[in-house]
Amino acid sequence: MPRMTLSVPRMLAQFCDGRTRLPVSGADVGSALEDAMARHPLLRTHVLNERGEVREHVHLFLNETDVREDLGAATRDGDEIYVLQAMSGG
Amino acid sequence: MAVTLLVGTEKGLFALDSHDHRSAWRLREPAHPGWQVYSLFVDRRGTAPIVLAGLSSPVYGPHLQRSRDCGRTWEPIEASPCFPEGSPRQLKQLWAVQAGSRPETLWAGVSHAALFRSDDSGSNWSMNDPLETHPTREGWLPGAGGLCLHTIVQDSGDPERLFVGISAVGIFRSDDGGQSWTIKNQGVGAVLDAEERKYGEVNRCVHKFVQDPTEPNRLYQQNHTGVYRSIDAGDSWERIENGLPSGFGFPMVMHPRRPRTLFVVPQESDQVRMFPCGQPGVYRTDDAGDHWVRTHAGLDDPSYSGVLRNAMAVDVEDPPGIYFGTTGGHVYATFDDGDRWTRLPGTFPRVESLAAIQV
Repeated sequence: MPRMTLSVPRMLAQFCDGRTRLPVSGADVGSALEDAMARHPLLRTHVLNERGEVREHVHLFLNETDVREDLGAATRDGDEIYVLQAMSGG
Repeated sequence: MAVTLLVGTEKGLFALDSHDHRSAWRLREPAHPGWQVYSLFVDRRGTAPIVLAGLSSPVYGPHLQRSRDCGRTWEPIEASPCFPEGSPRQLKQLWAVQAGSRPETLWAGVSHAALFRSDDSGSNWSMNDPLETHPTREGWLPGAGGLCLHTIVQDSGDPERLFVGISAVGIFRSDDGGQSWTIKNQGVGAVLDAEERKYGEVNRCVHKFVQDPTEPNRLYQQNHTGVYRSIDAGDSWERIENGLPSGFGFPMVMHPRRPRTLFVVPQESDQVRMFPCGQPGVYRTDDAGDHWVRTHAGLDDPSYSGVLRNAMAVDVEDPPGIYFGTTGGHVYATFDDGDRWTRLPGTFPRVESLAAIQV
């Protein structure tokens, strides 16, 4: 199972034991996110909406690739997944 | 006792600690920077006060936080109110938290309008189904702040009686602990005549309401269309605007020690939402709304800001402190029922909510 780092915005760090970088594992982006959200339930609350979709103004990157619409993107050891606040609204 | 005033804003939570019998105030470092704080509630029923704060973000959504040390440290509540997984509705804001009739019972109001109940001091929540499935729900219309359940009043005399206010729908009353709900809008004007014709008693845009704790059948309501009084527990309403420059406004608080004494902050129309003509004023009635007097000494004048529905609070000291925060980020206090207002330290982001804690 690939092991990687999940980076979250500072506003969400309080739900992740105060950390902005978390070790996660998963064969794809969705599985890696699930690994983190299972341990930190309020991370799920704030990244996903009630329908289980990524919130409208949240972006997800796998290294330098936008994977917001591709949670099945395959991961490799040493990857970085970024949860980012979308630059919407000026 | 000293008082801590919590100031919930558009971008974080601040705390002002009083010293020297509330004559001096010291501002702490902010908590929850970046988070909106739409609601603050101090549960005074236990041996020490517990504070609940409704935090939200337009990006990340809402959750509840709890503090057992007057806001110095906070604990996010993992099982905060939420809609069921797969729900088409999104929980946008936590607008209200209020004590229920049992020691560990709390109620929470949210947008998109729903009522939640906790029986373990806020750790776990369940949705109130009778309000969820109310037969009028399909006709409910949102206000500018969304379809929000923003006010909850647990009757001071009858443990089974509960009131909630939903914008722009109106006031609902339950006489059986939340198992059934009846709309209580009779006598309240609609924003548009067309609404009244189309929806009947539904869709009266309540902004805030309070109960006179010593006379529980007396309710007072700041509505979009004016200020109203009920003497029959909401069964009927009459206008009480004698002396007010505008019927429009948001906050309303009861004097904590004097029956029939309450405060409102009139603002200019729904188009403007500022103090009328830039002249700030908190209006007090001592006779249940028959007459209102403007209090303003000490307020910055002119002031082109407004006051939001949860941005007014009282403490229970003797004499009590009455506080309000503006959309311009200033917080004021009076300790003589409005004869003199004092601006407290700090300029904040838009003030969304206030709560006073006796410490």
